[in-house]
Amino acid sequence: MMIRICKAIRYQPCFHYSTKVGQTLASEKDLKSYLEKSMWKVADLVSHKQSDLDKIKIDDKVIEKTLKCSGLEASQSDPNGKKKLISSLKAQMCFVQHLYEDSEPSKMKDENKNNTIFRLIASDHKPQDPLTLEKLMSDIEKLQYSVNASKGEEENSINIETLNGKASYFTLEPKKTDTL
Amino acid sequence: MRLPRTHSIAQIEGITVFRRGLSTRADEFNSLISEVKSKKHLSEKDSVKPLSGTSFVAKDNIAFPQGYTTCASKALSNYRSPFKATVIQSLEDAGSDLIGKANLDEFGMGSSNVESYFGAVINPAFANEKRIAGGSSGGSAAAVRSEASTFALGTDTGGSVRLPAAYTGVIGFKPTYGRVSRWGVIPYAQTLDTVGILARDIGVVKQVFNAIDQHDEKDVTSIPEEIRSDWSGLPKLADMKNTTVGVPEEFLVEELSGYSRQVWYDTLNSLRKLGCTIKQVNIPQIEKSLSAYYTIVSAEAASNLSRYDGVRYGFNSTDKPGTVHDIISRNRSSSFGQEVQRRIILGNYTLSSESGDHYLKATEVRKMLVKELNQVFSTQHMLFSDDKPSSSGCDVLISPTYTSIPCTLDEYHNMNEENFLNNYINDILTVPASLAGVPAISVPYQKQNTPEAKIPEAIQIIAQHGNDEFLLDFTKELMMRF
Repeated sequence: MMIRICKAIRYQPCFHYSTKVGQTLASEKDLKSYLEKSMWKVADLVSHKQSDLDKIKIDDKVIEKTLKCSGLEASQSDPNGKKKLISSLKAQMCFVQHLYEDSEPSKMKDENKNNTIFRLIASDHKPQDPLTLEKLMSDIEKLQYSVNASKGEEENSINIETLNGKASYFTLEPKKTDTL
Repeated sequence: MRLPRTHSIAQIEGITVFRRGLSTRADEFNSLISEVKSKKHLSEKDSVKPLSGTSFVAKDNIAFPQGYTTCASKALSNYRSPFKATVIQSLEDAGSDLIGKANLDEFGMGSSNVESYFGAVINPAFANEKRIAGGSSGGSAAAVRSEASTFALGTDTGGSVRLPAAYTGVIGFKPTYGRVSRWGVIPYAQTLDTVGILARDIGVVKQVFNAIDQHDEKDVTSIPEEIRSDWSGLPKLADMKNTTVGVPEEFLVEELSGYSRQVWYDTLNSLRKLGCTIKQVNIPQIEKSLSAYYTIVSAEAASNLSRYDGVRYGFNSTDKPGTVHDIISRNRSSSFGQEVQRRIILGNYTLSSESGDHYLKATEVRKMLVKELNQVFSTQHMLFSDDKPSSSGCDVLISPTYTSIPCTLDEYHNMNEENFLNNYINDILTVPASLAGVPAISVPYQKQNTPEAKIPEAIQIIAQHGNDEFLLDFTKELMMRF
């Protein structure tokens, strides 16, 4: 028989729920009874009440803006295309709201700093020596000797001087200002 | 050691099928998109390299300059890459031959391999019915299962190697994020994308991993040599009976089928009898991992796919004049599949000011998940020296790879139409390892005395960041004993 533990009970303070290495499942009986349980239902994450969907305000204007940002057109063949998109976005937003369950409001005011984004890149966690101007200049000096053909780089394939005038979008030209 | 070739190249060319009409016989599983004719390494008869005599297929989002690199998308159906991915170069250097490019869900977006411009992959493990092969590396898995190649490369963003491997009854290994170069792998979600290996034999998986596990200066996410050298001090597998196995409570979901639970129980009980210590563990962030994962991948996909405008390369619909924006929108709308368009729109909306700062929140969940795993494992995460491992912690975590068996193509379409979020459910067991960047492997499970199991079942084994060798050694022992 499956036993489903109510999530609400698990999160009550008296049932402190945190990371832990728990008891050893030493016998067949321990193992069997542990694996028979169901702690939660994944489908609860993706099913939503109509009242929850109604709280999310997404209209045609938002869809048109998002389509434009995405470089996409509204479906010409499906007259209900925008309605379906609104429905998809609302469902996705309800799904995303589970991120905020049982968490304290963020204390950070300036949330968009790049260094707050967690990544699994070694240099984010094991910083190397800080980059100095001397190191930067040295790297620039070495750049012409570090052409890598496997990256599609070809030595002397671009002459910046010949680009001027022929393809002005490659170089920045000083803005012409009216003189007094 | 020289690995046996499963088939001669002539046989392979006979049985594989290529969507571009290059083949003479049909690929009944639709596992490949194109063939690769270069057999340069076959001429090296006298040289014995670690992978001499083997052949492989690479998922078609891994760049190779001969032929096309399509990502199973109309948008790149005419794209010829000027680059060769480092991972393919490494395998060629080790003596293996690339013989084909494998089908996938468009740009890796999917768990079924139904969402491909070149059609759905059919699961070779089911003889008389059309069931999904799983995705997104379904073509790679089907090619290995049908013995078209010795092994295959896939990419695993949230389970895209492990799930199709489990559905088709082969081994699927996702290494630690950053161990294998992503240079030349067309990005879907760059903070999660990992090149993975599919094979029928664990020895092959180990040898292939040895060939591609190296730092690559061309990939900024590649783990540097200084940290790789620290891994040499990690514990090796001495004796199975000294191993502690964790069983995450959060993987006990209602959706797990009775059969999956039985397989899970059988595996753990066998390990227990062998002398392994089995412990229950709690990793609370697993319950938020699906929401975090889909927030991150949608946002990163929207950003990564913004480069495909059809102007400089790729599919171009030049039939009507218009503004630059009109042309680009028309190109993209007529060349991206429905699922890709939906994820781009979801991603851009998720990143918009109207929506909120969900991407940031998702990365916070990810960070907490890594911290929680550091408390559960007995070895240290090499990127987080402040997190001390637990002396009573676990060496590996074990769970099933999927909650329910692969559905039929019709069932898939009906489920998707009802609620596209339903397709996310089955990812709950594979996504946490991807978010944490830790190595994980799916191993086919076959109960003793049932050599012809009708439904492929699979067990997933997860290890601490960087403990790939331990994981592979443990898996080898497990497969030898059971």
